[in-house]
Amino acid sequence: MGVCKNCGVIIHDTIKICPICSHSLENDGTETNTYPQIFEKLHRKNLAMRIALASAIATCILLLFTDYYFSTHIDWSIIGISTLFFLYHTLHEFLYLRKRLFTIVSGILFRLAILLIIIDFELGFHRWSLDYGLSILLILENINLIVFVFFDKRNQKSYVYYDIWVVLSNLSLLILQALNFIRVDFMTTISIQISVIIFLSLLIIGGLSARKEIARRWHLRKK
Amino acid sequence: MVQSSSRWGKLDNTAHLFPAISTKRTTNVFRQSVVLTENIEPLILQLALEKVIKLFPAFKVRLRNGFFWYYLEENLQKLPLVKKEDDYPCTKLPQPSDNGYLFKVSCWKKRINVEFFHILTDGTGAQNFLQELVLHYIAFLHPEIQQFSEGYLGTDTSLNREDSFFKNYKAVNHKESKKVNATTYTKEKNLYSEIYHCSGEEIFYPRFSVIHGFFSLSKIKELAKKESATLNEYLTSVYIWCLYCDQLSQGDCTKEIVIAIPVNLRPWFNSITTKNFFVMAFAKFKPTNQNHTFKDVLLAVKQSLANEITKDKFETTLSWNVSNEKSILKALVPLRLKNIGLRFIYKHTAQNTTSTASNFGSLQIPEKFKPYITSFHGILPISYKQPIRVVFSSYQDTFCVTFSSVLESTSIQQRFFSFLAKQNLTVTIETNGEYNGSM
Repeated sequence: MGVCKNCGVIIHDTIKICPICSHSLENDGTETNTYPQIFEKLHRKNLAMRIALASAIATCILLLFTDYYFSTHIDWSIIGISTLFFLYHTLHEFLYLRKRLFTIVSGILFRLAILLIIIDFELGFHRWSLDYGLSILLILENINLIVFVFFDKRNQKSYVYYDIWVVLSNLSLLILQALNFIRVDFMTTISIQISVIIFLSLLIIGGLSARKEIARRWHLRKK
Repeated sequence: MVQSSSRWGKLDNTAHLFPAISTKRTTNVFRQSVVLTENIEPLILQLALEKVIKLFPAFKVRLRNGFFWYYLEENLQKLPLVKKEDDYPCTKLPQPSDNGYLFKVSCWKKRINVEFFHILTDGTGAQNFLQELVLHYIAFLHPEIQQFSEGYLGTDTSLNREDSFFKNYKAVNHKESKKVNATTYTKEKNLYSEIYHCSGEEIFYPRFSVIHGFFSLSKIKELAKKESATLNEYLTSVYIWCLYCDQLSQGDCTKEIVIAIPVNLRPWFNSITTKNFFVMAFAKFKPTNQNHTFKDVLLAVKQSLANEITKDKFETTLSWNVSNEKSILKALVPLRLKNIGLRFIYKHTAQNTTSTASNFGSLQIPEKFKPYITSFHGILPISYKQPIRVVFSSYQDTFCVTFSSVLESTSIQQRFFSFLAKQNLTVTIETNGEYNGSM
């Protein structure tokens, strides 16, 4: 144990300096650490992320600089920065794994949709991102959902609730279509049909537990 | 309560706040630990946990978000493996590796840690669980002490999961309550700028410092008795005194110091629930000059707590909180919007407090298990505008004060323990190594 003459306290840890006043300690050799040393382990993990962040920022600056001086028609830097942001976020999600895999994949598809719209806009807004991109991504989201329904058996019923949001997202395509943002009907129709069929299948096959899941997700008041 | 038929249940009144305001740094995950006399075997602890969780089905849940409210659902996933401590205390729960469980059990050398997301329970409920876990663990290792039959539970252990906030709710006159709250709010709003907040350089995330100070319970009780104060009043006063000195060192002496003290409502309302059942009382000291003594602080704390800790005050707070949840208009607001609103209100009101001092009480263990246990302590996470917080806990004659902080400076901790050392208390310090000469 160490004794701090300044604070008048006894210290258990294997240190030579008092942790509360930085005065030197008189140790008798019986000290022991009561907590693990966490900092070094986390420092290494965070270092990878910090290197990725620094590289991304440096690349962004380089892109902006190059774009400003050399590009004439298209703002390539915006596309580059958006893509870097997308890649950085995806790397972060997989490195830290703070969310469920299903949520991570859904998040990637959502950010991909935004990226596609930005790229389309920068390339002259030919609307391919809205006509095809959004529908394809929503079909992929349905596939993501089906895969997890099969493999994540313990959470099967909860996917009925998520599918409601996929159906609603599909319906938003109809609004975009009505507003003339989407001009290719058949992709939207296919996407909506797939999501409605999957939702009804989950509801019917899931039976009572699927319906109960919806009831608890929408419960309003405490009785 | 998780109902046996549908296996899901609603959150208690206080719990709604925690998922809305939790961040990776202000996690609302608190820890309770017991230190034994011998090194912990993780495998045996796992076996003990598997047994104990069967006795506490209400803790075998995960948090789900509905469209209007969060709710708890039975967790069918495996219990996460008990691991040797490999992260800072009070990190966010649940992590994906926790399989959605809202508590985490870990060990390090002779210490067993249980961390709880506040949604699930408060300090009293957590202590209930930790006690059973430790008893089962010791009984596994030392069958000569006690052979546990299936479903063994200590006689003091409660499994009750009623929502005591709702049970003790009395309809409030909304117009009157709103009037009272509005007046208080306006008064408080004017005070925000005058409340003292600990400031200074912070250690960067995810670092988190813990300093425990151990000393004799009987001696500190004597000191408190000498000042005609309860233990809580005395220690809270010492804490406020340290914050006052800290304020003076920054060249200011006018800001009010307000310490939030969670009060366990169970004894006041005859409840044995393991859900959250507490409200905050506030110990206050408003300095007017640079020459206040410790006795001035103690007097102010005694007076403010006497005004705060009354059944009438608790009933009003409790009923006001529940009436908000009962309102159909507020219930109809989608969860995401509710969370934004809650975060806004919380951030606004949190500015009114300097820090929190929580008393986790004394660990009660049957006589024959006592030789295997040396100490009990807890850790609070930091919160918005509170970069330093403190927990008091005790086991037999060992009293523990635990500071959790993200401040670079340890001046408050130093003042606190030096103050006690000057009162002829032998203080023993343990830390998690964040200040061990590395800065």
